[in-house]
Amino acid sequence: MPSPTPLRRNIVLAIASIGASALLLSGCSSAAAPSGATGATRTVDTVLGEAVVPEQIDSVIVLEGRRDTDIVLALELPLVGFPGRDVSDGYDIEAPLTELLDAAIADGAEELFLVDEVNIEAIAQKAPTIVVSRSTEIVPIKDQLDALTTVVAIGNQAETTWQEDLLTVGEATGTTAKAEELIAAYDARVLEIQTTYAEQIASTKVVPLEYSSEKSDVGGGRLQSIVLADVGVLPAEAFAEALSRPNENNVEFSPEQTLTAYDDADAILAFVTTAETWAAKDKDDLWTALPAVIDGQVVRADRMSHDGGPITAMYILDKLEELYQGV
Amino acid sequence: MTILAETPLGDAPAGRGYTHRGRWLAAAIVLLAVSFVGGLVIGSRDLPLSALWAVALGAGDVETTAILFEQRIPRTVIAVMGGAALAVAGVLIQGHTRNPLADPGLLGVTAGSSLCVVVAIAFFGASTPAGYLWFAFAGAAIAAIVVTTVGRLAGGRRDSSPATLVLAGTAVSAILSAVSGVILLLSSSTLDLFRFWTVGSLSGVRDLSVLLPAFACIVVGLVVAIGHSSTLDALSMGDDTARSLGRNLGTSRGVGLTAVTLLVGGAVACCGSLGFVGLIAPHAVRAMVGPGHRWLVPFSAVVGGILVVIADIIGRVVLHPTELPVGVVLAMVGTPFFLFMVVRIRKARA
Repeated sequence: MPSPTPLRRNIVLAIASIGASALLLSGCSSAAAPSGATGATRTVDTVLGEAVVPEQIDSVIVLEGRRDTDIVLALELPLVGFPGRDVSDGYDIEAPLTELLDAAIADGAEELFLVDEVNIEAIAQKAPTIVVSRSTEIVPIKDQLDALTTVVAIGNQAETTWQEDLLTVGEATGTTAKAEELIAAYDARVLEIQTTYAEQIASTKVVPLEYSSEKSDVGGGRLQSIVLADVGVLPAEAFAEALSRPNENNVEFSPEQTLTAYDDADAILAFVTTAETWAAKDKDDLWTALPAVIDGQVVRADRMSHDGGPITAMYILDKLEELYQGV
Repeated sequence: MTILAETPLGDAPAGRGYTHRGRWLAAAIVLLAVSFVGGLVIGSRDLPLSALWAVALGAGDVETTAILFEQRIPRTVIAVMGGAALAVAGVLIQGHTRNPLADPGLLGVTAGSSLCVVVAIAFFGASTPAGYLWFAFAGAAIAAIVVTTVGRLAGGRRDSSPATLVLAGTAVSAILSAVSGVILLLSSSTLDLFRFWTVGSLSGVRDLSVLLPAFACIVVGLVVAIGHSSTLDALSMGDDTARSLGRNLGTSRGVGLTAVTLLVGGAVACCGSLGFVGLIAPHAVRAMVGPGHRWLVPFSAVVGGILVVIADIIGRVVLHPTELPVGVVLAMVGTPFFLFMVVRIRKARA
């Protein structure tokens, strides 16, 4: 048999290297064995059924990045992994969770994957005690996650309130008291705003809208809308329509309709994510002709507050208070 | 070789003369004017004609004035320019490749623009048409240069044959689209923004002054294309005949691709990636005035403008109170038209 040529030798070496790398990688993956629910456990009902959770929670990974992260941070659970926000999202203002997330990062939490691109191997590597996330993120990969760790599913906006989810995670992690405390703090803040700004609330029509160059819309199921409804704000027409169908599509308007859609609003909570769009709105004469804009009754947030838990809800109350302070 | 060359050059189909073509062109120009007015009058916000007339007299209210000057006039002008550019680019590409089903996507120009827009969104934070403008144009130019170079290398001579151009365009398109795909896969937010661009959209507040460089490219491209008409006629009879008629094929291809780059780059910078205009408009015009490029090029420009304006108007009202992007409307019309063309061409060849 003729001896292999250098080319053939290289090919064989390359294949061998790939094989060795694959074995090494699979070894790494299998090293991160499921932590399993060994020892003392708690049983909790979740939106995806019963979950048996270890009593000792050493590490938590979240998959969605808003409500799940909010709840985990608010309950002061040991977050070790979370989805990163794409830089090209162009977030221009500080998100409600930024400060606490930075603290978690300082304690060792890591960005494991990008939002909507869950990486099972990265989760396996971390071997978390539990994974907490919306059912929407869990369902497509539930079997894989179940093989790795305990999954505590919370609902999406249409399924459960953030308070219900907070209590579910609290029960699962032995932090029910903290969860109840957070809910009570929120209720107290709502009451405080209702009392302090009773006159403004009764006389100011408000609309929480997302603005872009292509369209504007109001979502009845968004967290901002839910919080505003909790306070009992007087809704502008578009907001009232959105609230009447919270589980359906957002109420959308073309750019031509900006003025007619929101001209009855006395104050606007505007969700604009990028600096470029925020600057572009000032060149839109239909926007600048809105009574609320002329009166300077506009407070900005961004899409990071469309969903969340107690921290984001309190952030929205801050924004609402800022809005009423200007009225 | 193809049906493009089946009718004597420069002539209309049998029985159709200069007057006949002139009438069609006059009718098309009138229709363009009517559709332009339609673009100003019809929209997702119902405005009474009296209010629009008041604006014309300088006594309009804020809302009507803003809708007219910031939205309807710019988007209608963009639709006319973009449609004209893509239609003429289609004529040029079909002429150079002698492929009746060719459109600006075939030579990789659209894929080049798309990739650069993706890069602009993903790595440079662009999120508005003004931000994409130069990236779209640069992408079209780079892709055209690469395709021409590869076509020449593959052809092994000074000029590229239609077949090598198409093959090079297809290969370059595939590579560029793959790179775009990878970036989009890694960045969901880029995908969100790119989605609007790639379907083609004219909505929103548009500053025409920002788009002036793109308009300039389109105008230059149209002038070059009109001047290129006789060369296209010669090329439609085959490379050898064109050469025997004194055409330098290398120069001809260079001029043609330059015009295509100017037209497609300018068009995609204005209104995103609109499909099917470069296919529908030239074929509709050929049915009316024949394959002679002296008529085909300017006539296609008019019909391309009409198509995009009408598609945009449909998109404004069909999903009231929101809008359907013009590219989606064009695709819904263009796909059946494309299939009809395939069947018609096969029958003609049989």
